[in-house]
Amino acid sequence: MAGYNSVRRVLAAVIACAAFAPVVGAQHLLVPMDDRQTNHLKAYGLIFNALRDGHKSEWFLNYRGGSFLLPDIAEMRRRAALDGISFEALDNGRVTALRAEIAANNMDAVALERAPKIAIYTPPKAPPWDDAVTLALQYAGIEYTAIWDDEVIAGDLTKYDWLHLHHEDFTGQLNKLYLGFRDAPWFIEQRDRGLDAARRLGYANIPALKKAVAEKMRQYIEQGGFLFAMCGATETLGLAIAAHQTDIAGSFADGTPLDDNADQRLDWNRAFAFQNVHLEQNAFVNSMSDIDGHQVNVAGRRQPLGQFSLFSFSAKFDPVASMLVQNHRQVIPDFYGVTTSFTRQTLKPGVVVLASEEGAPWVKYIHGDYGKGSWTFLGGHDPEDPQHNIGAAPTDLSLHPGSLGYRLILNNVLFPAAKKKPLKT
Amino acid sequence: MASAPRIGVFLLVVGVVAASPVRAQGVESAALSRALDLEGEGKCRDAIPFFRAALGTTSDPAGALYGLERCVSEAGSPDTLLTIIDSVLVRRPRDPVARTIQLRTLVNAHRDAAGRLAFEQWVTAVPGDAAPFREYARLLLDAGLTRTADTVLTFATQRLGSGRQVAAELAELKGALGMWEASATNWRQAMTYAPYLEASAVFVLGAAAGVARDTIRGVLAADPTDLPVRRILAGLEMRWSSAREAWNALKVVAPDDSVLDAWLEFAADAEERESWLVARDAYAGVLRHRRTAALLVRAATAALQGNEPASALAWSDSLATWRDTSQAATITLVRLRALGQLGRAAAADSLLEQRGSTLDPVTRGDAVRAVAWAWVRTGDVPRARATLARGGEESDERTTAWMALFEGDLKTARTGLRRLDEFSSEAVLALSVLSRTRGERSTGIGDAFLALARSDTVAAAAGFEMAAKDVADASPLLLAISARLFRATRDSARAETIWDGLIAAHPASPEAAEADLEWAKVLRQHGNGSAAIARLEHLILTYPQSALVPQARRELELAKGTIPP
Repeated sequence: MAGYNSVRRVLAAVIACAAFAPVVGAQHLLVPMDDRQTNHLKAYGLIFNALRDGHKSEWFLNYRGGSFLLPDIAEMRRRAALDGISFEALDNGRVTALRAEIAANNMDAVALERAPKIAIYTPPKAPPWDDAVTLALQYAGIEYTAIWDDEVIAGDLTKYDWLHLHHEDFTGQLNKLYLGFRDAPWFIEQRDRGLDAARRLGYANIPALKKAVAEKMRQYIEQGGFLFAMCGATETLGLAIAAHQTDIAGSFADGTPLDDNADQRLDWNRAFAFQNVHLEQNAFVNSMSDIDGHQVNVAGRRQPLGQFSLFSFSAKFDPVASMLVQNHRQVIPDFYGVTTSFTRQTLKPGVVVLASEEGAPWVKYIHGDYGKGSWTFLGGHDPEDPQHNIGAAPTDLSLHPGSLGYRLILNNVLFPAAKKKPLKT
Repeated sequence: MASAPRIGVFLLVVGVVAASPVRAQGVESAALSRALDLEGEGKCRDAIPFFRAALGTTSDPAGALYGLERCVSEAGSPDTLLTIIDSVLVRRPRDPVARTIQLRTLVNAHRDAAGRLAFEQWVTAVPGDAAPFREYARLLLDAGLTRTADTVLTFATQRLGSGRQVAAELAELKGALGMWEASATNWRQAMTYAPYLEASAVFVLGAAAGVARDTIRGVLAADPTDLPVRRILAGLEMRWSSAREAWNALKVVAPDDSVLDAWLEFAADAEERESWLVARDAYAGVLRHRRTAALLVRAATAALQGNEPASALAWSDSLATWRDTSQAATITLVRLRALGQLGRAAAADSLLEQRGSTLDPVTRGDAVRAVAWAWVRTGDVPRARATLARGGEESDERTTAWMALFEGDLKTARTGLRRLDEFSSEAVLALSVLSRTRGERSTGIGDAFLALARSDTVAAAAGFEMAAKDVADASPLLLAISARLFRATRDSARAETIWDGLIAAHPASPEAAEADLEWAKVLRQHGNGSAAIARLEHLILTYPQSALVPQARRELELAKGTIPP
């Protein structure tokens, strides 16, 4: 009996140890990104800052909404607790089982090694609330550097891994807002700032300056940079690059009429995503071209908002595309921007469509390689402000901690941190 | 003889001619009534033929047209409605209701080209009339098509010679585009022909932020000073700034009957918002031109509620000799309360002696309690008890419970206050303290509450801090109250010392998390963001289960600048 009792005591001790093991002896923290997560957006900041501080992380593609694995360090727990980020403590045994599950399914574990250096092309003194990416980075606590024309022309882009553009008009026509906002103080300030920069940097006008800036960006991607653009920057960057020898700016912008044969003279070989585009030549029609499917500012052409679906990719064979679409929902409500979507007819062959609206002649989210680098375009201005009127209150992301649209933006921030080289599909 | 049939025929013709409109009108109203009944019963499809019948017989098709629009839209067939409208327009090409419904249907159906054509046809049908421009622009604005609305209104300005007749639509458009100065200018113009749009103006302009507000103020405050424009400015100030600024905007209008009515309406609004002193000033403004006892009482009551007993007393004293005796009892009560708030308990006592017998029993009871509270405010609780006894109100449960609390008899106070349906902040505070301690007596707590009743916040704050040393089981709560009161007196340094001590001495108490949060807010207000962040992080990490954590996280975001201010 004495022997039996001692065995029972040992067994009880073993069971007790096993029960407490995940809490007391955990080696990893799993940051789930499915519906169990209480703050998806801050989770990206947690991972980014862990990488910045020299820790390693892994991105479990297609596993519970694209979860992350971190080392179980007190500082990680502290940051997660402060930001309200859910995490689960895992021991090595559970991580091994999890890896087996990942290996057996359309999932993959991507090592994240280094926090990318981020540059955001934004006017000096612009508040971070004016741009969805700066909003997201600010909220998630991800560091970035704001750069503008001076830095780009000076060749500073090479200092960064990742460049973001938002609603800048690279055709230099200030988004053709002259018609409706010519007297608005903010418009006048924006125009004067552009003219000052052009003069200071030795260009005749804003279109000439922006064309030069666009060319610097093209070279940056060609040499291995990552570009993420949203809203009007997607469309106008393409137009400005294709128009390196063509005048596509209206006379209100540069004092000369645009080239009569502009459509034919555009050089689409140099562009990232688009081809065979028809320019909108009327200065009083608030549209740049037929790239945008929604044409939000043109009465009679404006298309209603629907919802777009993210595509599923093979995590093992197409990790880059997989990283860009990690989310806890596949269907996302659409949102307007100066450029809301991209018409299928203007896409180059080889462009990877990441998300589109079913049955619509446009797509929402695209990606491609260019030279040694790559680019990703997301249409629309602010995922949590679908109409986004000028002068509307800025979005408070603490009210949208699980925003599906903002997750797409933050996927882009982390993907340059991945160790694996992108594989071709 | 031959003339008799002719006269008969003539009378018959006259009779038929005279009766026809009546009969037609009867048919029309019967069809319309039937249609409306069916619509009311939710049978829209059945109502459509009756609306159409009414349309065919009436000289004023508005009711039938609107009914058709409602029912046909519900049935989801805009083409049917457009066909009917087309037939009406053949007969009545200038009919504004038919034209408006036609435009609305086309815009809602996103038939932009057809909408534009219908608009142009309407403009041609009524040259010089602003209605087509107004209606079309408004529909486009509602649909968010600001650019097209801009084009239409620019066209209106050219065709009509000026934008004056479409000023409201221009104002709304400019507001939607963020052109606030232009919007305010257009609203000024619109007020000359459509003062009923004042609320719309406040709604549109109210969205302006930052420096744009001063621009709008400049436009609306410019001469000449018109009531509708000033009402817009007052509405905006009420929303952006304060009731005081709103009254400043409104009071400069030269008074006439309509202005006095506007001031009265404003005073009542200020009362509802508990901006008592602004309400008092607005009543005072009216009283200078329209003096009634009822208004004087309202002004005095507002002053009393606003903790300005001196002016309440002045108002009520001016009523003491008023010939209108219907307000006498109310006036006496206001005067007693004003004297009480001024700490003139003896004068209140004397007034009660003089006028008490003229009051009805209920008002007299209120008057006795008012005098008793007047003694409490002087710190003389025994005299307060004596007043209650003399007036036969010593059994009043509420007053007795409060007196017990002031005397430090926590047991009696606890029993008495728990039975009351009183939700004042003082009662909630007292009950929270009484529920937290099992103690039956505490002179310190009594003194602290008595100091609060005397409106001596500094003494009360110090009293609660002292009491915390004696009443161990309620110590953290008493310290938290003390810190709150010191903060209210702008003595943040003292409050911070107390919070610091509270967190160190009572880390497991619920007040510790509250102390962290309040301390952080003060630090952030004083521009010490890093210290605020440290406090908030301490709260979130130390008290993760606290109900204050979501609030702390939000404060943390604001302190770090990660969300818009």
